[in-house]
Amino acid sequence: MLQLDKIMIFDGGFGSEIEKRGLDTNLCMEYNILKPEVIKEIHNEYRYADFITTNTFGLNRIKYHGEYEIKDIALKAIENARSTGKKVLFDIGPTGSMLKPIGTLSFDEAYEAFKEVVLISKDYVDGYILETFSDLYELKAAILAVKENADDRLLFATMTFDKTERTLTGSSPEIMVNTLEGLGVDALGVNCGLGPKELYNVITRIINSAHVPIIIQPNRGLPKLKDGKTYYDLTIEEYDEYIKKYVELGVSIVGGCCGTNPDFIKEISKYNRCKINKINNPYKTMINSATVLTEINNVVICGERMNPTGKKKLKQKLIDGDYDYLVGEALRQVECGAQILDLNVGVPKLDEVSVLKDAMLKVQEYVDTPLQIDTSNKEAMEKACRYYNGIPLINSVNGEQAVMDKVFPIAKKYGAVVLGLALDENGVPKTAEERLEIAKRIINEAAKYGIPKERIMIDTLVLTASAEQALVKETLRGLTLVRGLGVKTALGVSNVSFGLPKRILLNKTFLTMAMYAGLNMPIINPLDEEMTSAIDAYNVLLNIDNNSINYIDKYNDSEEEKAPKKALELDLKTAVMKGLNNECEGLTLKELEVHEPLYVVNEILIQALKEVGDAYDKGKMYLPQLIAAAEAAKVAFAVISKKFPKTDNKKATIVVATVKGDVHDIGKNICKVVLESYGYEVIDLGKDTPIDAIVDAYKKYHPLAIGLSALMTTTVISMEDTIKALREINCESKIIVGGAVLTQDIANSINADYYSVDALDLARIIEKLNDEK
Amino acid sequence: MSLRNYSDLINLCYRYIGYKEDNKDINIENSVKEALKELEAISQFKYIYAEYSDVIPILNKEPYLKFLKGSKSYYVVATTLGVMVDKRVHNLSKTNMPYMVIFNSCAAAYLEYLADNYEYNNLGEDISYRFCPGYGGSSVSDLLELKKYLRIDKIGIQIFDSGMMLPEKSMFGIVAKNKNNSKSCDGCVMEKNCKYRKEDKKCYN
Repeated sequence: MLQLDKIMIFDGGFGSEIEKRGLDTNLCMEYNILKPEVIKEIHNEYRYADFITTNTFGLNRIKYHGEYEIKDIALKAIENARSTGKKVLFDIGPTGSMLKPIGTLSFDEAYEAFKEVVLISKDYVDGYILETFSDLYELKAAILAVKENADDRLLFATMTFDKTERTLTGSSPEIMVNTLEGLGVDALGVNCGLGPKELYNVITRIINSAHVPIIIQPNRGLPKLKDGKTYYDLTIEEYDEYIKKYVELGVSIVGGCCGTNPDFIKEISKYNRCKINKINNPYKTMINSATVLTEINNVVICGERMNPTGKKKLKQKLIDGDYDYLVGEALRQVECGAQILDLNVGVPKLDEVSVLKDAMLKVQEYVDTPLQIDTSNKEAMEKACRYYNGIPLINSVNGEQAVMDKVFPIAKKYGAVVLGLALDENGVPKTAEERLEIAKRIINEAAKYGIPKERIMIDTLVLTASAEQALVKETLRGLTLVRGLGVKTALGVSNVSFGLPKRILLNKTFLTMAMYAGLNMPIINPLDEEMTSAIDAYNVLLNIDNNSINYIDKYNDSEEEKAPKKALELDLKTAVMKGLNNECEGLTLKELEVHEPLYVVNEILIQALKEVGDAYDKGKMYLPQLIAAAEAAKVAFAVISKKFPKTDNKKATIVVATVKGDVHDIGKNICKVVLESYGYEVIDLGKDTPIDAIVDAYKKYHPLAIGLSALMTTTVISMEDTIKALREINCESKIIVGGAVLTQDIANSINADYYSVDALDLARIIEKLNDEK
Repeated sequence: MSLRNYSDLINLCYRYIGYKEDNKDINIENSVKEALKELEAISQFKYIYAEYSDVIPILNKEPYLKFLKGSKSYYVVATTLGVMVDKRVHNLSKTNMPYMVIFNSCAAAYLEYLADNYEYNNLGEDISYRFCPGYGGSSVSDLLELKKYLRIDKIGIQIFDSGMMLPEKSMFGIVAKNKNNSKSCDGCVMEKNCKYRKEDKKCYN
């Protein structure tokens, strides 16, 4: 860890110094080569700083498209900075491109771009400043690029926050701190975006959570416009007033950003003579995603439903690559109170390495709850941790030396919290004391890797009461003993009742006993209300749910107190037309008692959809209602196909995609839902889809039709190219195009077979094609 | 240009959804209110502008010249609701598609509302509407040149080679000063296929 004995000073704004000299700020980096004397002059005017940052902010192959080689600019920039005789930090800024899934840049592409400049510079600089990042994931790529290629160099990282006290991608100061400290930066903080006054809350939140030196480089206030020019009007004295306050609060590295100049840095350099006010924040056991931070304290539910053990349907979905199912499971668990989600994809013969990564990315795309990466496969663990956005929990390590040697380097590198099982190569110890000894061994070994005990949790292991009845209490005693080591605990609770009747009674009783013995993280099924209500009751009885606020809010409207509801007079057709998902399952089963499945499909569901479609055409119903009806119909179809698997023959396969260069997919997604409600299998290739992928999908599925979507006139060209490629291979599928800027004329000109105005129109075209085939 | 109020915003949401108050649906109305509440909580509205008096090369053609005619100066402007709104739409497409349609429409309306009011308060009352590349027969790809004149990256906007912007709820264009001109349908790519025109209505105020 970087140990500072006095306040360190950073330099200030560079772009404004370029502009002041009447030069073009669009050529900032080129000036390293074209006007080195100017660059050196600016650097030397910042001579009151301890660290000089190179003039390389946008220098990466994603952002920089000028006429010079990146290497030439980088080396010249370093030479210019070195002219000051000060410590030189290589300045790395963001790529300017958004990472997937919202954008199109992959994590690896970002990493490679950062790696390139690190490799060029590492032998010539004292360290790196990664600054003005607003995406935590992109910053992680940059940090790894430095750590993996120049680990012996200083590494500072700062992010930009706005008035909502979050970064552009929603990370809070605490999330930034937990992630950056986990990844091993030497100092962290904030730069740009706002002035020192506006950054007060953000900076104090960082001060109240960090354990490494804090660096701040605010702008010179908020920008103002006069006579067409941007300026900042905060005076040096006003700026200094805030810097002084922050130094007193515990910030240890200060500088400036946009609008500040050498005079500002000269003024604040007086803090060089000041000792640092040490911050002593407690260490906590925390994991996070990009936007949610979960502290493991008191009782935190970890949902276990994304584990294929004993779950035939989930196993099949994983084999099929249907990660949407996993997303559904994740969302349901979160809705029921899970604060952490276990993710395990261990299915025999499945490529766990790539499946775990892909499944994790898919879940993180839609679910913000932090994840527990559950695997014993080292490669799968490493890959998942690498691509995880935030700080994960790893399940698991144990007391066996070989396992610790495998897991701890991964945990250290990616800052993960690790769940340690209190067993070793000799198996599960009988007594609590023996399990305690293994826990100590795990904690001590972790410490050798620099992993503090706050990043270790211990599972004292649940054995089934049916086979090891006398040992159940050892698990509970183990919890209490292990908590005495200052670590948090976890248990896979439901194991206790395996093989016995009335499992839920045993599970919830054991859960309550375990929580009282010191359990922090029960790994349970959050959809099981018996279990979650036991936790709610426990929180009341142990005064964790203060004034029982949550408990009252949740249970006040209990069934005993409510007057019995009258059953709604509802039939399936009406439920579908009204989009009443929740009613459809029961109503479908009721219809199947008296009608054949095909009757229900053709005479009720399809009729309902037709009537909704007609009402929509006439403007009597709206798009949200159309979609709701389609989704309700899907629920009904799912019930029928489950009960009568032979009816689950899809009418035909349709491939849909948003074309290359376009990431708008709302319309395509709506089309997918509507087509599925009509009984078609829809292969969704996603957005920004390469031509090859669409051609490959045609070859694989030979669909009835291929639906292409584009929202912009410029991406219609991509649509045309896609159609050309399909025609070249004599594609027999009908090609249907749609999107806001499409018209029948455009569809004709790009050689599409059909043009659909909206999702309903598409469904009608597909139905017609299906009838004709 | 005038200051927009909340009921202007609601009406704009309804217009983008295609909702007509003579065919009332209380669920849609409640969803609109819910969406606006959410948007208020998660939006990270940003606006950036720069003033120019000389015509930038990329604007030295129709329809921009017609738009700027009579103005002494103009602003190049960009605005966004931020990527968290995009993320929410993306998330809703999996979790609640009917609501997503409403939320997405409300987000577009919300951006217009915030941008209109920002312009009224900061650029003055005597300004035109926003004219963005893609309107009136202009090309979306003009954005690629226009970005040389405004640091849209400072507010987190990225433009692709196709002219597509991220975050999706972003606008980038020009506002003329000392001018009050009205929008029209001339040159709009949707002119022949517009559902509003079919009902003798317009998509704008």
